[in-house]
Amino acid sequence: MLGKSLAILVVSPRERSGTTLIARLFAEFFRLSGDAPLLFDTDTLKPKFSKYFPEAQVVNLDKTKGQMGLFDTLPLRAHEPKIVDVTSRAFPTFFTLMRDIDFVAEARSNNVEPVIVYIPHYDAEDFERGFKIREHFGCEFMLAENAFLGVAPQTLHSVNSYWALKAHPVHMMIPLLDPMSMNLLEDERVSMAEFLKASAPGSAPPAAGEKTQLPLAYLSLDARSKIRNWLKPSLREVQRVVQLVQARLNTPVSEPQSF
Amino acid sequence: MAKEAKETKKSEKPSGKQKPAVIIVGADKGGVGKTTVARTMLDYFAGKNVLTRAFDTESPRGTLKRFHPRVTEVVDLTQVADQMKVLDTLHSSEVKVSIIDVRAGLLSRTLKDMTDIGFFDAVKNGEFKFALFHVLGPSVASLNEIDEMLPYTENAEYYVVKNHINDTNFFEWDQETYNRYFKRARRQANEINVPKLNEMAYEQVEVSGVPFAMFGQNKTAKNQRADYSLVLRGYVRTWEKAIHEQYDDAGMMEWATDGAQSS
Repeated sequence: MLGKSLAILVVSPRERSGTTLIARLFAEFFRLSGDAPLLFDTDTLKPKFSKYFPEAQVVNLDKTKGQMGLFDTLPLRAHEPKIVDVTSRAFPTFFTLMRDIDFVAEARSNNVEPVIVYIPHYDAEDFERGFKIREHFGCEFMLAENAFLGVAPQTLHSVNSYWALKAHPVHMMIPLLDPMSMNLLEDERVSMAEFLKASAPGSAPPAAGEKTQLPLAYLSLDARSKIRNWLKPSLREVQRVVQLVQARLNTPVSEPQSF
Repeated sequence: MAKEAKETKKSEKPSGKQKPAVIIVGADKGGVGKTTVARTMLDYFAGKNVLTRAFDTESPRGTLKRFHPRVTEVVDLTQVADQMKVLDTLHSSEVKVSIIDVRAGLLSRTLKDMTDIGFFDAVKNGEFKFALFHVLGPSVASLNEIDEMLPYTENAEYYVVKNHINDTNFFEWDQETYNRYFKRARRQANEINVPKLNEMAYEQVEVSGVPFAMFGQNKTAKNQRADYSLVLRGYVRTWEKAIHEQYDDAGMMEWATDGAQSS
């Protein structure tokens, strides 16, 4: 019996939360696992996700056609995982629509499980909002903490929704990467999968004069090592939470990859 | 006043017999969406399992009949034979709720004809229940229609329907005009606000030829699973839910079925 496929909805109510970075990690994980995920970029003003993945569909959620392009597709093709990079600008529209069209029920009737990957900043409003979203939609939910956003201040410790989300069984933490390395990793020409392959110990450096699309190949060993030491645990973290969700859904778990 | 009348009705002893209810949906202007309103009303009563019949006066074509063929008959209310078909069967029909979608521009004429044949005397004598859903357009001329309708609403429920087809604001920006027309109507009228439905969703419902409710449920005319857009279905469901909640708040269900035996 075929299991459920996942529609990974990477969201944050605020910009500069690492939404695209985390969406990229999920996309790269599924590709490295041998899947061909359907990818969607909701940022029509400054699309980033689709720069890394040219095959990604850019959808304008301010227009009905764009909404149909996304939400009419997500419940279909149950054998393919889907990943949506929801820009903070589209956050309110996205969830209003998701509610109004009863998306969760429709997706589930087609054997697709929506998974909300919620990235809050460390303030009460974000945790309150995340809590309400989790409670309202009742689909799989994942708290994604991004170390780049700092640590929770003491004032947050008295907020019930903070503890409720922290206690949520599916919870991921993306470690911090130094700004210079992150800057390099954010180059639009960089594919995380290709980087892992090209920077693996023992891999041959590019020959003199050889053209390559991978600028990171010219990095120092130290720089490559830093990025690699961030990328591998991050992909392992994505693998862990995906397998956890799959187990919760009683659906076949992806084969473990050695990152 | 409409609210007080409803409360009085609630406190009256049920007669044990359901009085036939006649709902007229009309406008003296074309293109204001009165058939759309009639369609939402048919969906409303169907959703409540209340047997309803409809008369479409857009003879011979009948837009209402296109979407609700099983419960709608096309009639010409200027003809005596069709007047008899509608009004003479109010008591005898098992279906106690009748919706008449009056042709655009003929509302006043229809109400006058019904006066002439004694319908409003029968309403006054308590033989029938009557409700008028008066769909307004955005212009000043439409506002003047409110005054023309008031004499027919003496023993009836009167609903002023604002259908926001084109994001019209019904002169609410002009407080004086609003006060002059709507505050006066408010003493005797309920207000129903039909929000704007996403244009693409509306078009797709038109193409499908099924009632709004069936489109929202992804059903074809033969009650089989359809392939309509999830997004457009959602827009239709949310839109119609907002309208039906207003019908609920206005007590339409209780009014229409007052006196019916409980199952």
